[in-house]
Amino acid sequence: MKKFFQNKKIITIFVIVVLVLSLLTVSVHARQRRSGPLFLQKVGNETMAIGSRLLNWPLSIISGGANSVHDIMQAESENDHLKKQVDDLAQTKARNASLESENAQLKKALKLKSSLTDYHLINGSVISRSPETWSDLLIIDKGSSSGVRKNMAVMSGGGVIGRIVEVDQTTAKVELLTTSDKQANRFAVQAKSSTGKMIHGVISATNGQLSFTQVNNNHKLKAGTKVYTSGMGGNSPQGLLIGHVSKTTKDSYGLSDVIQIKPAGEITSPSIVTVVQRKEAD
Amino acid sequence: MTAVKRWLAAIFLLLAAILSGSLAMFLRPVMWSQASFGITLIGLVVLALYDEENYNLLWLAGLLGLLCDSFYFGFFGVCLVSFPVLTFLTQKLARYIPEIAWTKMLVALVAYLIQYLYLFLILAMFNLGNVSRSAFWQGLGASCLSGIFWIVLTFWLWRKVAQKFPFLPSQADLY
Repeated sequence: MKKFFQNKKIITIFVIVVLVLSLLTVSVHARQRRSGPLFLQKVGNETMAIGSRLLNWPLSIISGGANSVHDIMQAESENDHLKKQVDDLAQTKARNASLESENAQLKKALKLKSSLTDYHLINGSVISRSPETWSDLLIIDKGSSSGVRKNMAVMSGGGVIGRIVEVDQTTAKVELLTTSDKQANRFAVQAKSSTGKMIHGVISATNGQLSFTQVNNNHKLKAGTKVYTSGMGGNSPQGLLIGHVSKTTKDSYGLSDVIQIKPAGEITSPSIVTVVQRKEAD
Repeated sequence: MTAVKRWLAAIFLLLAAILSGSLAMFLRPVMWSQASFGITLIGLVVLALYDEENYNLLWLAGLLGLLCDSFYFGFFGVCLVSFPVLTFLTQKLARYIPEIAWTKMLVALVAYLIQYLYLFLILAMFNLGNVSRSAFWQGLGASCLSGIFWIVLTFWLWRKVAQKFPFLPSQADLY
């Protein structure tokens, strides 16, 4: 022990390691708890965001060109698919309008200003992404000035892809559903079982695979069953599509069911996103 | 030497830090889903190899690490630690490395993979990621390939910057 304290190099390394671990511990916990980043962090983030917007301009032209070629090649099959859906659209729109008006009348009768299903949408673009492996973070070009707040749900390509974890003035960070961060907030979800009962649970992820966990009863879910947000937890509204049940397996101990979910949203390469701002329920 | 030339290395490194995020956004879905895009670290290591006595690089590495951690992670301790430490170690090792381009490229690749392992360690220690053994090896392979790709692609640029436009050179270096 005496030798240890006499060796200045070892003491220096020891102090540095302790400082690094302390820095990591404090900043990781601070990120989870605080509502917004520190002032200096905001300045750095805004500077990087401006640079990202400028650099993305030529990159998006190149990427857009490549995507256009791909789109042209897919156009015929997409056209056939859309023609089939157009037939149903008129009927669905008419029914939707009638249900909306009925819903508004019922809310008025009950003196309800808003419910779990009411929300505003804020559209934005992805301007950057964490370059390191396993870091499932996107940076979008909408921030607190556009009404974005921490923990709001984010959608892209028809389904939920993640939630806001940090908000700056003009940018925000989105943590994808596929994150394996054990400290991350999880979406409370629900799905209708084959017996008609509503099953509640949360969405978690392992190695990029989404699963429906903490299921509240033993009802089975068929493959293809749609999984929606339940609105519980107070952050996201009810009824946002998360994905479809792909298969049900047993966990590594063979005790409980692991219901695997195929995400409905564009998680791999989202470019346009929609932040969902829940209206306060009465 | 004009002010721009003295700061050119810093400007290039800042651009690389921003570009890594943009490249990850555009290329990750089509090329390597598990690879890292750390061009900034490659730049710092190559600059350190060719400018081994310029300790101004260390605080530049720290500043870039601070920006990258803030923008890409939201917490501090990944790039803020790995950038200056790897730059310092590279500068210390530089005198023992032969003056051949491919050996210097190899050093840059080793630094790139050390950064990968360091990130894995942090994720595991702080419960920020649940990475399986197979995902770890797949990620290591993908990072190795992407590292080789980015090193081969950018090495000449960083070498030229280090040799022609060293970062804030001292008066002794100028004469």
